[in-house]
Amino acid sequence: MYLNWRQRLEQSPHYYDLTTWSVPCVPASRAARKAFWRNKTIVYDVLEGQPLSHVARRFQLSKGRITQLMNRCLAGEHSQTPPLGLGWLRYARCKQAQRRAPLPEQAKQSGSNCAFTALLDTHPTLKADMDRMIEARLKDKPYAQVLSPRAMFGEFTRSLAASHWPKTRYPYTSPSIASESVRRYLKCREIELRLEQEVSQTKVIEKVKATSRHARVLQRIQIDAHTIDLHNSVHLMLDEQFIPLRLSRATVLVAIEVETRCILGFCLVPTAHPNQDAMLTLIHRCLTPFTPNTPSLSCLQYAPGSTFPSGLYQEIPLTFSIVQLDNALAHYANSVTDILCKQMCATVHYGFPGTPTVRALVEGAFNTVTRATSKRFAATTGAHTQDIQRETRKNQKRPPLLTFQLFEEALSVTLANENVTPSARLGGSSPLELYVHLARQQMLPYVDPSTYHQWDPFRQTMRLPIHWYRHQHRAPHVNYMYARYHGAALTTALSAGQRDVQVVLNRRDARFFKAVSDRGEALGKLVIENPWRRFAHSIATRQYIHKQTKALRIAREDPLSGLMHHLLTHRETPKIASHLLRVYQEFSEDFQKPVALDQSGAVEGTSSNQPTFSWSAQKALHRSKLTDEP
Amino acid sequence: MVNDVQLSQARSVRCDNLEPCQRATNPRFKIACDFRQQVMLKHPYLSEFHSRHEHLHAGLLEANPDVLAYTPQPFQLYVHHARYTPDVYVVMRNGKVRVIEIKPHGEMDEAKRLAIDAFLALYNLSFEVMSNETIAEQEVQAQSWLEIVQRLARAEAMDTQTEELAVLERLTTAPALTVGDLVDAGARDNSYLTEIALYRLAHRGLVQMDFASDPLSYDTELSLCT
Repeated sequence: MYLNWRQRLEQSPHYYDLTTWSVPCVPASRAARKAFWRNKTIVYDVLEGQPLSHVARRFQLSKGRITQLMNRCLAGEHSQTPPLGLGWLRYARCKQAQRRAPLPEQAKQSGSNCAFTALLDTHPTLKADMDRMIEARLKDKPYAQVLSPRAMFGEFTRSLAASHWPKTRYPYTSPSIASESVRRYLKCREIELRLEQEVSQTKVIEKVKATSRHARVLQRIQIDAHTIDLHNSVHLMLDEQFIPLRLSRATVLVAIEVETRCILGFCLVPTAHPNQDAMLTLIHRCLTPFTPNTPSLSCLQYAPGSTFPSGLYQEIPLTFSIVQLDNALAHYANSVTDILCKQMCATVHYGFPGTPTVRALVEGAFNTVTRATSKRFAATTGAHTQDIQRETRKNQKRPPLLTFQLFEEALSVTLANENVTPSARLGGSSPLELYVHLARQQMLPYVDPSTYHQWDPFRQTMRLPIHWYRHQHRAPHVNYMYARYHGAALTTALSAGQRDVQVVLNRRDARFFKAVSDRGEALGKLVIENPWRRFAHSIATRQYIHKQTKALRIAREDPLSGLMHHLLTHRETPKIASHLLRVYQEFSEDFQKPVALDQSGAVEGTSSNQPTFSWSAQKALHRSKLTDEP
Repeated sequence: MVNDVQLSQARSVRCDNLEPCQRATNPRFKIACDFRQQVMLKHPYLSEFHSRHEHLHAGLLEANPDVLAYTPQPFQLYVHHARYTPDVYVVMRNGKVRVIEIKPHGEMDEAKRLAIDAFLALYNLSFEVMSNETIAEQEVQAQSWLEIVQRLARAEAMDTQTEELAVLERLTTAPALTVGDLVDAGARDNSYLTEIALYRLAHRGLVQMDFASDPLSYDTELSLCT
């Protein structure tokens, strides 16, 4: 039903309040702006209740013109929203044009104004057929066609032919058979349907946003990994020699608090495919008090007060409530759910697949990482050989200037400084300020220090059966991951009548176990058999060695050195170099201890047929003197 | 009593075992759904939930003192030769057992629902279809309880008998108390046992915490359950 402006005001009295009107942008030209303000003032005066004759006299217009203006703003179909402020603009089209005359016929030409819209309204299936074709493409159906004007025009003519549309009626009366209208319809309708689809996809995000109404700090944590396409180098100190390595991709893992956008911690691993150990390292870093080391370069400096929240653990202990992860395989690992769900009693939320925007904050943190660090060097993955951003062949031959340690320092400084950078989104306060403020105000979960210090992501507990070959006069042992562990604790357990023993192991150093009795008392230490005792190594490394022993020809007498030798032999491959770094990191206990492979007499049966690695100072130290770095 | 029609409907359902034991989620389905995991109290294992509403519903079950225990994804049925796993198996304190399916708008295939209903009735189990919307209406309460469950699970080994008696005594003498009156915001370690005692009493249904509009905070009102 058509409503004039008075009827509209009677039905919707809230339009009396001009502040509820949608207002368009003020036009740029002087004349149009003058008309705009005049029309607005007229509407305001009328809505205030002034008689039309007074208003008309004041603006030197007729009463009919005032009524016309009011109708322009408020009149229309009762089911549709009136144009409102759009009516103040000169020449703005407020009403959708409609064709009143019948469609042109060959015998009776009547012009083709709005004929295409009328055709879509008249034809029973034409619009639906065309929309179906667009939707098929947007939903990626197997039968979908490419959305080109030609394909759409084909569908248009097919639909007309299928319904036996008279050849003497529009569009066959126009020379182009409405091809331009079809093209315009395709462009507009594609955008509309795409928007509708996006809206339905964002329902998931809205659900998450809706739940954040009552959010508190540390309620939701987002964790994700990001691969960095940046080649960097590392200089391993092995047998008192510097070994320069060129590393390929690395992955940075970041944990961020949602309510305050405060970064809880990060972890850089020299691989493109982080595993569960990388996740555990990240959680460990989030929980371990952060102590900023002095950066090796003077240009890298922590801003005053910059830290990660783990540095404030005595005041605000970190407790996770909901940890949002993506569907990476490493996130489903039992060790990850064990620390997060069973030890920290948090909820792990994996979310729907293919919805990274649900964890938009952590993706935003990766933007900071790439902007500040990785994207400032020549690209290593140029799209083609002539890519100007690609690293030149000359530089590709040598280890890059940026070292892995320096890159990690830069990341640490960037992310810690991000925590103390004021943000407009947080009302001008920095994430760390807001974090501390909210943590003091809100009722966070409290954890007593003894429980907090027991949270160790690398700790793994299991029960192992005790083996004792008495007839061979051998000491009792337990088997784990292809190796035997001995210790006096097993004798104690056997004497107490236990046939199996509970052991606690550190995933990063599987050389030793702590044996625990059924009552929870410490029984002592179990030590691995000899060939595996030289270097600290993880379970993953031992598993890798056992799987690859034959393929890599690793000597069984000293498998750990054997693996290192194999990796050193093939170190030119960036992937192997990354693996070498990871193994070196384990053996040196995070660069804390020196690693010497050819330690004579350290291990019985150290392979003498292995190639000896010696490096000339000139070769090893080129571009690699850490002290000479700028 | 089960009539012939119901019996014929029940015949279209087959089950190997009706013992409630959480079925491990298929790894592919874990990726496809909105998967969540949490250690709960009335299902004292790592519980798996396939949607947000299932997770919230678990929070509501924890809040309900009439619920003795529950098991998510309890067993597998074959309805018209198609596999079907109900969402929750709830044991009430009065001995009744409810098998619940959570669906958007509470809509489920009618033939399937009748068949499952008839089959479970043979074993004295009642079958219900609950709508997501009903659960979403109590979202604040559910989320607060999920958080309390986390706090209680962390403090599982603590002995709070003395503090529980003290909390009950205070609530008897001063009925209108808030959480902030019992928990010292300045020194949480001093009142930590009292806080855990309060949650345990609420979980047992002896103390009522008002989560009608606001989640758990220092201003949450407490009262003794009558």
